Amino acid sequence: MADYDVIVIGAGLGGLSTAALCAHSGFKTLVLEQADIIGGCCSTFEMDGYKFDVGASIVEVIPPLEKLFELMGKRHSDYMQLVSCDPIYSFITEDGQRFSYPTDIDETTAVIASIAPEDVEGWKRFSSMGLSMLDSMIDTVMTAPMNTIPEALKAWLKNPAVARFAPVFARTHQGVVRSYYKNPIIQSSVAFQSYFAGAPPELGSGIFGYIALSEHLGIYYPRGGMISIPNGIKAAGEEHGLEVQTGKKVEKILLENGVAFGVELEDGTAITSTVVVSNLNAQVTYLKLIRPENLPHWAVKAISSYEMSMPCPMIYVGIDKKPELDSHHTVVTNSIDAMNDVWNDYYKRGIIPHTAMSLICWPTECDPSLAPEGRHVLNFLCNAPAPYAPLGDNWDRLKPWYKEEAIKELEQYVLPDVRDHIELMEVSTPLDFERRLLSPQGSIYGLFSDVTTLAMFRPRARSKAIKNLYLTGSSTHYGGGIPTTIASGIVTTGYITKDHG
Amino acid sequence: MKKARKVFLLLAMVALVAAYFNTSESTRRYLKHIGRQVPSLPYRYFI
Repeated sequence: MADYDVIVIGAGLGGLSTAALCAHSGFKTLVLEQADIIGGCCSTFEMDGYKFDVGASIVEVIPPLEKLFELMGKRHSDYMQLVSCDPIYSFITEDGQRFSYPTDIDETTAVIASIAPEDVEGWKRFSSMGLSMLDSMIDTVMTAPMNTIPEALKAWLKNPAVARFAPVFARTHQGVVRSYYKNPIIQSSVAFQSYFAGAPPELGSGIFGYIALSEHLGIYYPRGGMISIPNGIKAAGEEHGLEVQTGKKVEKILLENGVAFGVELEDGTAITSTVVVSNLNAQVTYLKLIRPENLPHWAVKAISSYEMSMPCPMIYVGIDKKPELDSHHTVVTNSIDAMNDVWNDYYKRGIIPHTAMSLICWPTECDPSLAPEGRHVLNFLCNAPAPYAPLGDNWDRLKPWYKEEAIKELEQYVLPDVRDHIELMEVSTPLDFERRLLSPQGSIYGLFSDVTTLAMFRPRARSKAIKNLYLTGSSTHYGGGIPTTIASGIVTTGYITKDHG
Repeated sequence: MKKARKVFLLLAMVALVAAYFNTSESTRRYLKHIGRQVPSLPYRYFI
């Protein structure tokens, strides 16, 4: 008799969603998280009265979150308070021009008309096509299993309208952007999103072009910090008996004749289960927790073939003055060519780029409780890719230099006298992300996302190499955002209940 | 007939190479990237 029905390794959003749903389905479920806090990239840590978000800074496309709670017979609004952020983005261009996109599509049309009247028609075509695509995909394809050709066909037959959007996935992000917009400033305002999936616009799939549109359906910040989302899912699961243990690092997945039957912790404790679910990066799951000698040759070749998405450092700043920003998110952006050049001329060569391309999050704009009174939090994501192994150096040594570079950028774009107002500043480098989140090479966006890692070419949620092993999280679902990782939990639980329910 | 087929194949290859070198540097980088990934697809499908 196993100790648990289901053991989930990792309390990221994929792991917690799977675990909560499994608990709701009646499985005795345990989540083991190696860190002291839950949520993975979607988490919040406290330091000297300031609350900083680890990585994720908003939630958009909330139907998967709503569906997760509906599947448990609950409402997400009973477990977390989502505050709408409007405008969705403010932009600062290379030459210092500033503008914002409101949530309302018609108001955004007016903003585009004031900058580039020639692109209004393109924006209207883009939003009309994009909205119908999102409408037909969010409720169906996003949470449907697509691990095999028959499953993909089934999803398509359920919603044949999706077929007309298939070419979007095969195009590049920059191809989609350039087909709608002529003006370089407008192009730059909708081209950086592929970096949110860890790829430059010339390599990222065209579907990332529509992230810019999906945000017009609303972006939200959970009151109390991003950790409120995993906390809400955990609380909902605990009502069904879910058990979550933090500070428990799994060292290996226990196997017998190619069947997973539990896990062994760092301290040697063995815990058995009928099903093991891994929320870790698929390469870590297969190559470290299972190890190549326990896998068939084809599986080692397959899992080793994936490239990681880019790492990017994160800077957390606490200041005692209101920043000169217009919205929750400010993007310092650049031309499409410059975005690609950063990838090819710097990142691929192991050089840390000196370029303006970053995302400045100002969460205290939505939720002042995240900082002591009169203080503000800035989470500064260097959206420009930074090499995991900088040429001739290492991140631990580069940290002070990188902090100084970040201050210079904040002086230029946020507050000219920011240096005099910084009370607290921390940097999380790619090495730190690798240590804390177990993301190989610090790749917070997981596996590289291009047309060759779509749907059935991503690691399966139900392992074919190891029986009773299931995967969840960004490794199994295209894109590394909150909606997709939650969707992955819904898909993985579908397999578990089908096989063991 | 056999010779005509060989000539046709040769011409097709020349056309492909010419088309490749006529594309932008960005497209060439994309094609190279995808070209590196394609051989792994049969394995990836099963993992």
